[in-house]
Amino acid sequence: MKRLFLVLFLVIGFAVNGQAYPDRPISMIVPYNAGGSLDSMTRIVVEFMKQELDVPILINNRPGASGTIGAEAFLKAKDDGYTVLVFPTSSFITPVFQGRKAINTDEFKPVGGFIKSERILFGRTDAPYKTFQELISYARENPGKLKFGSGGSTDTAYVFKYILQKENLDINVTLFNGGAPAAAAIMGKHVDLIEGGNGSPGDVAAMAGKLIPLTILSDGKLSKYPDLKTPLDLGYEYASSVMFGFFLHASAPAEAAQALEKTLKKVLQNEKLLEKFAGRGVTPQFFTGDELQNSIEAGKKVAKLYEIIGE
Amino acid sequence: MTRLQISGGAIALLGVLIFFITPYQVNSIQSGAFPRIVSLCLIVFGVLVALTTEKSEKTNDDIKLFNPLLLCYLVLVFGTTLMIRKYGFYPAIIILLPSCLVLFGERNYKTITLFTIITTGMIYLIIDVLLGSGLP
Amino acid sequence: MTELLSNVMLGMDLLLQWEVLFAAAGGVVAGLMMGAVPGLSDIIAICLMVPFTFYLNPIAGIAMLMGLSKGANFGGAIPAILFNIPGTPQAVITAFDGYPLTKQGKAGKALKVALFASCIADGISDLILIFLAAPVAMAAIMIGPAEHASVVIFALVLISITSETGPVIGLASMLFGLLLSSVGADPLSGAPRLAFGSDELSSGINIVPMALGFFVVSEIIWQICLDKKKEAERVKLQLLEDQIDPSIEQKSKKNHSLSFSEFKRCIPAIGRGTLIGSSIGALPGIGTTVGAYLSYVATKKASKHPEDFGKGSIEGIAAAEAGNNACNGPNLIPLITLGIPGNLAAALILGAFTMQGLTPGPMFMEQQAPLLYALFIVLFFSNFFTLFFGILYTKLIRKMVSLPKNYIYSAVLVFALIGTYIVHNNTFELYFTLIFSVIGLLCRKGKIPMIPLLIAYILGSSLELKIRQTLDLHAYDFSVFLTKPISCVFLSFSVVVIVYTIYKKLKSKATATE
Repeated sequence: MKRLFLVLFLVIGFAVNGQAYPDRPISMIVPYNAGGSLDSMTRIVVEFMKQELDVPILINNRPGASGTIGAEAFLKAKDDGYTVLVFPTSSFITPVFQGRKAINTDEFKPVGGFIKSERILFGRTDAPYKTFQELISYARENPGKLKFGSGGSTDTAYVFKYILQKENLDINVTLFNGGAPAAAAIMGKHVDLIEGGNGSPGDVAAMAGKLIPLTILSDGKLSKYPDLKTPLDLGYEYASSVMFGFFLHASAPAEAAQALEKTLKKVLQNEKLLEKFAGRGVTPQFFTGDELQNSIEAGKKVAKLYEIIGE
Repeated sequence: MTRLQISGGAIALLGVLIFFITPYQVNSIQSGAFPRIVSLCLIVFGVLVALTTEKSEKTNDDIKLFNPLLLCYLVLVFGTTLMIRKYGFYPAIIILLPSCLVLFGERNYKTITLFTIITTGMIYLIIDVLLGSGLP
Repeated sequence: MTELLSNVMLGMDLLLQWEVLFAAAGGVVAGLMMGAVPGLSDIIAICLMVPFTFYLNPIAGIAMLMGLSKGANFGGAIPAILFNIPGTPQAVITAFDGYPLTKQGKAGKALKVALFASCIADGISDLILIFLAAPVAMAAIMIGPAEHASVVIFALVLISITSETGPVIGLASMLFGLLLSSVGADPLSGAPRLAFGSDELSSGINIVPMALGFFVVSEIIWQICLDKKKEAERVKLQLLEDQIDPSIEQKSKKNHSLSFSEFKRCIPAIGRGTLIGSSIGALPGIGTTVGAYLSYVATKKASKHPEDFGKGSIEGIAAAEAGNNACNGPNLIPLITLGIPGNLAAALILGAFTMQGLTPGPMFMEQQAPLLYALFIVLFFSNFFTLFFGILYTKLIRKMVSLPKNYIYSAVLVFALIGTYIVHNNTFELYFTLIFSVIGLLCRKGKIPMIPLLIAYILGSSLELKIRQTLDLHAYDFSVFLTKPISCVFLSFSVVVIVYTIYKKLKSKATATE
C-alpha cells in the first residue's frame, strides 16, 4: 500500500514538474452566438490548440451588448490564466459609438491574434464609377444621390463618414446589422455602396464578380485585391482596425501567456488548419501580442471620430 | 366598467408613462422617436378600446389576480431565480420541484422525492453529459 | 433540366453514405426531443449541436443540422397540443385547436394531423427551394428596407385585427408589443435605450426568455390557479372541462387515429398553409410565427365550420402546422443563392457551412452543385425521417397526457428556466422571464390578446430598424414609403383595413346604444 502511494506521488510530482501550464481544462469566453462567424473560426483554431496543449478547452458563448457582457464575464473570472477571452479588437471601442463607457483595455493582456479582418468598400457593377477616385468625383457632382450602408462595423462607418466630411461630400449613410443584410440591400439596388469585411457575403459576391471593391477602409492591404489602397495611403488620417485575438487578464501569469502564444503560433502554421479556412476569403495568420495591442491603439484613435463627427 | 375598458385605460396610461420617460432614457432624438410615436399610438388605441367596448362578457375560466396561490408561485419563481444566480442550478431545482408540487397540493412525499431525483438526474444527463454545455 | 438531373445523380452519390443518412436521422430524433421541451427552440437546439457537427464530414454535419431544425419545428407542437404549453414560439398557434382536442381525449388524432401537415408542407416547401430557388431569391431582394417595413406593418395589422377579443384591443396589444420591443437597445446604433442603466438590458430582451415567461410560465401559473379554484368550487363540469376521462383515453382507439375522410378535409388547409408559409418564409426576417398565424386565420375564414376553430378543429391544426413548417424551405433560399441568411436559424446554418469550409453565395450553386443537391435531397428526405420518427415518438409521448398534471407543470417550469439560461448562458435573463410571466398573467386577466403582442415583439426592432434605414438613406423624406410601389400598396392596405374596422366597430356601438 505504501509503495502504491509512493508511485502515485511520483507520478503526480512528474506531472506537475513536467507540464507547468496547462495542467487542467482551459475555459474560453466567446462573446458571440454559437455558430456565428467569430465563433466558428475560433472553434477551428481551438480544435487544433486542444491537440497541441493536450487539455480540454471549453468554449463558453456569452453574447450580448456588442461583446461587453462577455468581456465583463471574463474580467470577473479568476486571473490564473485558465480563462481566455476571444475578442475582436474593434469591440473594445464599440461602446464608445453607442454613447457608453469604453472598455478599459489596461485590464487585458493581449496574447496573440489569429485573424486580421479588413473592411472593404464595395460598389455595384452597374455604377458609373469603377474606382475610388471616380466615386469621389461622381459623388461631388451628384450630392445626396448616393446611399451607403455599413455592414455592421460602426467604427468603419465612422471612417467613411470622416472621408465624406473631409472631401465635403453628401452621401446618405445608414447602418445595417451585419454583413448579410447589407449585401442583400446592395444586390437589390436599395443602396449604392456597402462596407463589409473580407469573407463577408459582400466579399463573396465581389469575388464572384457581382460587386466591385472600391477601396479598403481599414489599415491593412489585401493580396486578393492588390490595387486597393488603405485610407492611410490615400491621405486620410483614420483607418479602422479589426484583429481577432486571445486575451488574458493583465495580472495573469506570464508563463500562461507564453504557452498560449507559442501554441497559437504553431497551430496557425498547420496545413490542415489552413485547409479548413480555404474558400472563406479569410486567411488565418499569427500576430504577436504587441501587434494585437497596436490594433487596439489604432481602434482607440478611430473612437475619437465619435467626438469629431458626432452622431 | 368592463374588464376590457380597464385594460384599455391601463394601456393608455402605460403609453403616457413611456412617452414621458423616453427622453431621459435615450441619447439621441432619432433613438427616442420610435418609442415616443408608438406610445402616442398606444394612448390613442387604449382610449379607443375603452370607448368601443360594448358589454362585459362572462367567462368561467378566470382567476383573481391577488390570489394567494398565484402570488406564491411568482415568489417561488423569483426565489428560484435568486438561488440560481447565487448557488447554481442544481440546488435551486432540487428546492423548486418539491415546493412546486407541495404548493399544488401533492402530499405523497415518496413520489415527490423520486420525481425530484429523476428529473434532476435527467437534466444533468441531457445538458451536462450529452450536450456538454454545463449548468452553473 | 438534364443538368439538374445529372446534378441530382451526383448528389445521390455523395448522399449514399451511411454517415450522412445516419446524421440526418440523428438530427431529426434530437430535434424532436429538444423541440418537445418548452424552452429548447430550434435555434437553441442548433446552437447546442453545432459543436458536434465539427466531428462529422461537411455533408453529414449540415444534414444533421437540417434534420435537427425540422425535428425541433415539429417537436414544438407536441407539448402545445398535449398541455397547451408551446415548445417553440411558432407552436403557440397549434395550441389553439390542439389542446381542445386533447381535452376531448383526441390527443393522438391532433398529433397525427400536426405531423402530417408539417411533413407535407415542409416537403413541398423543400421542392420550392430546389426548383424555384433562383427566381424566389430575385423576388426576395426586391424587398428593400422600405418595402420590408411596409410588409411588416401590413402583417402586424392583419394579425391584430383578426384577434379573438376584437380588432381595437388587438391593435392596442400589438402596439404594446412594439413598445416592449423598443426597450433595451436602439436597433440602429446599438446604443442603450430605456435600459435604465443596466448593461444586461442594453442589448434588449431576447425572444426566448420573453416567450417562455409570457406564454409558458404564465400559462402554468394560470392553469394551476384555475384548477385549484375549480377544485374548490367543486364544479361538476371539471371532468369534462379539464381532465381527460381515463375511460375515454383507454377505450376508444378511434379518437387517436386519423380517418381518410378527416385527412381529406385537411388537404385544403394544408395547401393554403403551404402557400402562405412559403411566401412568408422567402422574405427574410418575418418569421414562422407570422406564417402559422396568417395561415390559421385564412383557413378559418375559408372554412365551412369557422365556429369549430379554437374548439378543436383538425383543420386549424393542419393550417397552423403547415403555415409554420412551410417557411423552412424558402427560408434557406436567400442563404444558398446569395449567402444571406434570412433568419437566425439560417444564420446558424451559415456558420456551420463556413465552419466546414463552404461559403454559400452567388457562386455556390455553380461551384458546389453536387454538394448542394446532396443537401437538397437530404432536406427533402429528412421529412420522411420526421414522419417515421414522429409517428413512433408521438405514440410514446401521447401517454404522457395521463401523467398527473402537477408533475408535468413542475418539470416544464424547470425546463423553462433552463431554456432561458441556455440562450445566452446568462442567469440575469431569468429576471426577464419573470417580468414577462407577470405581463402574461396581466394580459390573461385583462383579456388582452397575446398573439399580436408576441408577434409585434418579435418583429418590433426589425420594423424600427427598417424604417430608420429607409429614412437615413432618403435624407428623412417620409414620402419615400409612398413613392415606392410595393411599399405604397401594403401601407394603403393597412390604413384601409384599420380605418374600416374601427369605423364598423364604432358604428355597431352607436346602433347598440340607440
